[in-house]
Amino acid sequence: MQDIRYTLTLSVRDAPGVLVRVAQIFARRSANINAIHVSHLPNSPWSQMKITVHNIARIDQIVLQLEKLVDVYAVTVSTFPTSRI
Amino acid sequence: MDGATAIIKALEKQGVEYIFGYSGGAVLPIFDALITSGTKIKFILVRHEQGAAHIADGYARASGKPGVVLVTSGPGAGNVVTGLMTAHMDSVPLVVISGQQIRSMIGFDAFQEADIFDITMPVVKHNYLVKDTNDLPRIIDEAFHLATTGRPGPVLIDVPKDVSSGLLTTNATPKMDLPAYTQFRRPDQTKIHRIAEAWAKAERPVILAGHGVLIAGAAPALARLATAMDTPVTTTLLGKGAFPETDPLALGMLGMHGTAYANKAIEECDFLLNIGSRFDDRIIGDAEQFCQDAFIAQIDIDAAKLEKMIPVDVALHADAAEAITYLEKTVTPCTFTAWNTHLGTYRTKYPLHYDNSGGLTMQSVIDSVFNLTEGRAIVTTDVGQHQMWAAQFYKTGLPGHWITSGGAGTMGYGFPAALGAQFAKPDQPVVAIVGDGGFQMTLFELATAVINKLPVKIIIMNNHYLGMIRQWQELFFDNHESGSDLEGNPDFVKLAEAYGAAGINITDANGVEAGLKEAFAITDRPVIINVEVVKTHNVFPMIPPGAPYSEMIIEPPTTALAKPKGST
Repeated sequence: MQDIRYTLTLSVRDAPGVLVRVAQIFARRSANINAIHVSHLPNSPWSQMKITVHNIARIDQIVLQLEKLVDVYAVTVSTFPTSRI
Repeated sequence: MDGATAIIKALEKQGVEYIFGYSGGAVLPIFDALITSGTKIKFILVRHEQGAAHIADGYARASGKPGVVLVTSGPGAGNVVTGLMTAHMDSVPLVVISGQQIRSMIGFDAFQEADIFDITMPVVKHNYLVKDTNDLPRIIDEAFHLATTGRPGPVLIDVPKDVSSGLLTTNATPKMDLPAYTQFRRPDQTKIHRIAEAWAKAERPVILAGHGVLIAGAAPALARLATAMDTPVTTTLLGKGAFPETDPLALGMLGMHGTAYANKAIEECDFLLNIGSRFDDRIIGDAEQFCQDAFIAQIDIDAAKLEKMIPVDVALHADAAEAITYLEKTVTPCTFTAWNTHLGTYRTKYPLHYDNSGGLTMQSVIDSVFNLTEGRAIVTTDVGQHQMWAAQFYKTGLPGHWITSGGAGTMGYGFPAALGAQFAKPDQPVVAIVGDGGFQMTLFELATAVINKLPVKIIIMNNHYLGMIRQWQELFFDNHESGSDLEGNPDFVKLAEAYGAAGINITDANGVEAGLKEAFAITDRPVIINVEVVKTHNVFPMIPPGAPYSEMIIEPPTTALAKPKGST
């Protein structure tokens, strides 16, 4: 199986617990988070999360479940086969 | 105004009629405000917080309005988790307010402190830990909005005691602040047209109606669409009531314990229109073989449910009512006489049936209840064999008349849910069909039922077993009755009398009609009808878990079955 790396970029509310809500979506599906970066967007109620995961069987489900969270505004995914990195 | 009074005022603004709950230290300010605010909202004291959650859930499903629960911190809130999970799985709107330790003590393992915010996250649509008294009116508005819009679900609000007893410093009208809460969009017209085109070309179409049809209030529109298109309708367990099951086009429930003719229709159809069902694993069986050659369209308000289980030809993200309205405008009415005649032969060949010659069967009792209530009772069930037979034999005619824990399969749900339904619909007959196992999980709510004079009929299908577990052990585990024998059941008639309810025993087929008539004549208190049924009958038809529809077992097997591929 080809090694696939996904980077998810999330626009989320800067609200307590949002990181737990997001992390639970991954944990419930046994998806390891390889890297995570969260930064508050200055002078706004928003934060941006960048999350990197490898070889997720149902990345579509993870994205849709993340988008369903009341504190998550949008999710975009970029995919890289690691052989090309 | 203090926070507790602000909570009551916000609930009044939402038109709340009942609060179901249980008191405790951290929630005392709110209980006090129930008196000092002079509110007309009726508070119903339950006997266990799980009961409150299920009563609120039954109330919500019967009334279409959100159910409201008020409990204390720690164990009080912990006890509602199963109720939240049940409501979450079945898209039921609940607003649960829990007390919490004072803010300065949170995180210090203080008395009755639990991190209920984190504990409940996976089983709610959204939750809050309120930090500022001034936020209470806004958060309650938001909670009701979230619970009831889009795909409904439970919302929990954790309120520290010093937040509820603190004073508001503003009178400003609350403004909801949910900038990231995106809802469904208008149905995609191209997809509506593709569904209509495929339907016109089909020879063997089937509509699969799920809970989404009921939640959207789209049952009348669905009936018009199905009739105009001469297309048979099968419903999921939670979809019962979305289409009148006595209609000639109704196939009844499909799936693991669906009717043989519904399952044959699924196996043979060339067009399947799924409205508001998530294609649960008990419907799909073997995903790779499910409706392999059919055109499948799926309509769901929850985008994460589209194509989750199987790939489909058209996945339409939409509210069921809106989608059906657009479909009605787009399709050209037609007839499928040959197909409906063909399905008629299956109805004749494989009818739902029972035989009382070996003792009193649950099916016959449910049939008698159906006849006595003329199919108009609100029926709640628990989980297990009685639930499947009730789904098969109590033909649901109207929305909101069938209340069961489908997704979560929560034993102990049926009886408290019936109380909630009776609160919502005081003038309608409400029947709880339960097993001897599940009833004992929440029977303490008999006190709640008696004090509130709820004339709920509790029909205990008493086989002295966890019947469905015993069935699986017989079929798949060499008949090893491990942990499924309910030896030690109480005398349910005496139990009823101890609580001040009425109790009736039915021990054979001759006693059914008289026993039920006696029960239905009682209108001022709950009635337990303990029915001693055959101990070891099994529910059929059955598609073994994970098996394709072609492996449906219609009659009891005479040879040993292979261990199933699927889970439950």
